[in-house]
Amino acid sequence: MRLFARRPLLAGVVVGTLLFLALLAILLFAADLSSSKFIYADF
Amino acid sequence: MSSSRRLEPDGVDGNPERGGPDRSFVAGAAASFFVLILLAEGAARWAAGSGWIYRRLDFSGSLTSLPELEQRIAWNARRAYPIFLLGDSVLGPTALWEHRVDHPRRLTIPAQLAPAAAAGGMSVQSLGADGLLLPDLEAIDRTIEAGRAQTPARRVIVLNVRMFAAEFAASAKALSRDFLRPELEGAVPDAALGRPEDALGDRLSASAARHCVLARTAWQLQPLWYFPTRRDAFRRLLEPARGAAAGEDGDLQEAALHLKVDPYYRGRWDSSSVAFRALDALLEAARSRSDTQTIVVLTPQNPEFAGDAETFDRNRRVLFDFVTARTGSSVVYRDLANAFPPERFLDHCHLTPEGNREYAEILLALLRS
Repeated sequence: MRLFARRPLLAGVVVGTLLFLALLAILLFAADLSSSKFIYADF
Repeated sequence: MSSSRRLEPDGVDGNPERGGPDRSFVAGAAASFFVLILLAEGAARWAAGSGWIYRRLDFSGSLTSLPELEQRIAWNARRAYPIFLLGDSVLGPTALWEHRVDHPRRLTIPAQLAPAAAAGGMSVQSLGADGLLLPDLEAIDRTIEAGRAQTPARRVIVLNVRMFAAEFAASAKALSRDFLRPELEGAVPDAALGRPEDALGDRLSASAARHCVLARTAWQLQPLWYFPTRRDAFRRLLEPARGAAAGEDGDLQEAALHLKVDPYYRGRWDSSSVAFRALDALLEAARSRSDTQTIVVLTPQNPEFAGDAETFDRNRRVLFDFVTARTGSSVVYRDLANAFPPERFLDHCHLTPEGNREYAEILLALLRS
């Protein structure tokens, strides 16, 4: 933590990377493309 | 006091610079976030545009957006002697997956047809997806035609009994994928108009899929682990804990399947229905493409589910008469409804891996003829 306190730019890069990974995880595992919905029971 | 001051940034005058560390932090976070997004977007565009993703992954059975469909069509249209398979779940791995067949994606009809066709110089791409109906196929056919390259693409249209069921005659259920509706230019009116809560979400999703290839690719990849739907994937994860109830589930599932599909075979087909209108449009378009052949087949049906033989045969005659009255030299029709015995089926219309292999051989013979 002391390293990040001394290097705010590095801390920002780490946080930006984590935010990107979180967004990617949402897109891959959580986001639902509503236009792809259909009645599966009809398959 | 002196040690704490060492941690504070100093301005040129020796005083702490206001907002200095905060600005660096925000700049670093924003730069890394947006650079990574741009890199991922670039990688996704390259993977989709070059066809890398389609050569390595099989998306049979799922269709998430119109841009994805256009991308898949564009990729195959660039290959030698392109052939598109249009149909419903018969072409996908869902039924194999439901019956716990190992490696279902490798045992589908398109997966077994493509290598054999490639040996003959043909490039097969399946655009089949679970639940597709005839207006969906009409929209997909129009999308293929809209993106037509110099090489004319052949189509194999796989019809299923379910597509003609009265249940799907109403506008609200006539189309399984809303994103295909604009391709039909009003042929199937939107019965769900006036739902603002859905409209905003749909517009956002459609816009994201159109302009952000990263988002589109991520949604496209989701069925690879959430298959066929997220709920089914989670349910399967819970199966070991529910092992004792598995036997009862099997009986219940079979009864539920009969309840669901029996009306498909009992109803009499009406050649003025939405399904037949879409089929008419498909055949008209096929006939107008004199430079390429379209093969239309009625997919095999399990005789044990066919119900009243008289109604089933009458419906097949209605379809045969309808299609043959509209076929020209560029359209070939085959009724394969009775082509396989009951033991080749997993349920009413989905075949076992061996059945899929034999079905692929029949389609290959038709493509070579």
